[in-house]
Amino acid sequence: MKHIWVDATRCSGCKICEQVCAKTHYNVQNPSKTALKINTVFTSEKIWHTHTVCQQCGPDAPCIKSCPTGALYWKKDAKIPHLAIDLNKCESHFVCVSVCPYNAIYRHPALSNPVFCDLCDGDPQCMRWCPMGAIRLVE
Amino acid sequence: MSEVKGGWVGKILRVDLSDEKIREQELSKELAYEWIGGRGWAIKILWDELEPGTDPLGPENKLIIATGPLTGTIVPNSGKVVVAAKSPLTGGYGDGNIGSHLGHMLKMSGYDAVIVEGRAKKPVYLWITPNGVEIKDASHLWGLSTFETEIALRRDHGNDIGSVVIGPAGENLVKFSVVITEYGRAGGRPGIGAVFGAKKLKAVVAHGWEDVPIVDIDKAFSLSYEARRFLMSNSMYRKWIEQGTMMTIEWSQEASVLPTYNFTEGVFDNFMNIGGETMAKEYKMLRKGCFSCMMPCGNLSIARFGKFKNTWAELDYENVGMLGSDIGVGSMDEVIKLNRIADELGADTISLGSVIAFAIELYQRGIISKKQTDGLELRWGDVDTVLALIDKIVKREGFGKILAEGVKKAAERIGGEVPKYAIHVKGLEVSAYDCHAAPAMALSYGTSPIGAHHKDAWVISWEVKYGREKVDMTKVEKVIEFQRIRGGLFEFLTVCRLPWIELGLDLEYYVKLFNAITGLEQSLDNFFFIADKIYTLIRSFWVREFGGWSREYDYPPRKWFEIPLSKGPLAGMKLSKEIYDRLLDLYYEARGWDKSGIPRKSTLEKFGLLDVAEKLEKVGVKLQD
Ligand code: SF4
Ligand code: SF4
Ligand code: SF4
Repeated sequence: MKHIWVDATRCSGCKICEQVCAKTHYNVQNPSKTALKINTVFTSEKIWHTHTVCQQCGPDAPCIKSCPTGALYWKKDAKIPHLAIDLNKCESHFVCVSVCPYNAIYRHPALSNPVFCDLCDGDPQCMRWCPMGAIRLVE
Repeated sequence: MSEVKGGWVGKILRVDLSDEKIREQELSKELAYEWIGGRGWAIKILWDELEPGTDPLGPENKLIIATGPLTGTIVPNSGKVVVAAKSPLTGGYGDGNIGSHLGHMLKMSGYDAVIVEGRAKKPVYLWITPNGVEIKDASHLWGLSTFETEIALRRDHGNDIGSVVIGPAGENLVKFSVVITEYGRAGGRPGIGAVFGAKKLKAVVAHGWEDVPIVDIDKAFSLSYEARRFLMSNSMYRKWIEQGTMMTIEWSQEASVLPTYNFTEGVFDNFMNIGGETMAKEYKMLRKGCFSCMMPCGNLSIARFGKFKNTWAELDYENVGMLGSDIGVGSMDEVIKLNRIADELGADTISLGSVIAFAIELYQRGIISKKQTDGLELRWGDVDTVLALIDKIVKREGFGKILAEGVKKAAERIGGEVPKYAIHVKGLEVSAYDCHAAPAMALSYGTSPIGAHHKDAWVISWEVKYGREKVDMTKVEKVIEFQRIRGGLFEFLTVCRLPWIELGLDLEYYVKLFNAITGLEQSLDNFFFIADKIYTLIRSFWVREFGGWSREYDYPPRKWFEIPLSKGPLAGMKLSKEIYDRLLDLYYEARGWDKSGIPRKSTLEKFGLLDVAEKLEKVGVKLQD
């Protein structure tokens, strides 16, 4: 499955992608509501930009399987197939958040539904904006 | 509730460390609309709230950490905060802007600015989130380097935080200590780190998650995207993200302004070794940018040879010039090591380089000997001795204690002709541009509102093109124009100036973005009026503190007048005092200040600052009409 990937050697840690992701989905200026999280991590020897984002596990994704109300589903007829949610069904159990092996679906303190990457329904906005050309779609 | 609608979040946090009181105050319309943010707020608050003669290291001094209306938004390069206080290094107004992730975290926690007052009984740090503000114990962090401190803070609060911290230099009240953010970005050259240290404040840390209100968010994003396209289409863009400000080393060498041997020369034999090309090809390991940065200038570089192999640090032009050529160090590996040490300790790289160069020059000239230097034999480019000296400075031991006061005080202390070798203005060490043959740049150092720093009027590259030898009003106008834009606009909007200065982004973008974000109607002319008002209030602050003013305070270092360059294409050149005085007269006149540099009453009136005039007269300053 295609999913978002960040080339750490190009990334600068600017978090423009985070802001654009939040704007696209919630129409707000608030990078904490992003599906793609960039972190600059540091030890005394090394410094690195890491990223966390949904790996688009497919129709049998652990999050989909775990969802007690069937709100999360696999949208296969999109331009690029991706994880999606039916907000009418979501009851804020957040089981998905605890089962995701990549910690890539999140609970935000001010939102009642989980935050995750839906590839912007096939037109990834973070990729369009990243000034470093660090974001790619990979299999 | 504050009446502001967007850009600003509407609240200022006020923390008194003496009685541990935490208060919130509404951001007034006056402060927001008339002083905008960042530097504008810092000077307004310090003018209003500090008594004249406040001890910069006493509990009465106030520390301001301020964002602006565009800070921490999608606006290109908007990850800045201003840190300010009365300066322990200069005794006047002091501030710095620092690129970090603190600005957006503060705003997402609900605050536009933080004012810290008083002095804690034991080491503390501030922990700010939308759930509340805590004054937390920092005993376990006191004594740690800035890097260790940031690692420890992230262990406790997670990686997704914004922070500014001090190191041992700030704790030990070294007068040119800074605050550091994200492993190697510094700010607050006039000793803001020491103000933290005096308050026993180790760090300010925020983690926020609230929306930042934006009046027309679609417009803000589409304008920013347009700006992004413009920046990336510039033919210099690629080179910029590869080298950042480091390409200036080669330029400075060619223009003969690269500070060398304590500003004795403008050229350095080993410049290639410490230049942008070498760094990009052989040393750079990672890009690092501030929040929303489109042109990351953080050159994370790693030493490859010799005993400092694998040490890494963030390199910029200024700190490579001052901890490189100015002290005669011509090896990138050693420059990296020195920068890393300065950043870990939280000492300003520019001033640190300057005090070291000053000491080496005195030693080499035989003005001081091993007796004064505690046995250290000071030689150009001798990195081991330099490291030993840095250790002494930061611990304030022996000779280091004298240097920890900055070059101006150190020179006065040693006495005689020594002040001639101290490269500073108003006590702040000159950053990395030699002005023996650059009168306009000398004027911009001379009149910079914090002492000799390039952030306000960086006119050097313009001047070299325009003609160094020319003496005319155009030069003065350029200095003022740059001060308005760089020292005004960018400092109060509190965003980075590089998209404009380096890649030519039109200033109108910032007006349009400001209007879209705040829902107000501002014009560039209006912004410039506010910038001039801020300059006049900062000058008034200095005048109040010094009980008057003398034009000598606005003079560049004596060395540029008295000792000509002895090498390179400009050998024999020195600055003419007569010419400088002529430029200074024109400058004062254009600013509406009198012949000794004091704002005229009519000027204060023009800016609506009659209350300032009154206060100045009360402390015995004579104002001309
Ligand atoms: S926009 Fe690009 S460079 Fe910036 S943080 Fe995201 S991936 Fe990294
Ligand atoms: S949220 Fe996690 S489990 Fe679900 S598809 Fe994405 S990566 Fe897989
Ligand atoms: S593709 Fe869209 S949803 Fe996924 S991280 Fe990028 S902006 Fe967010």
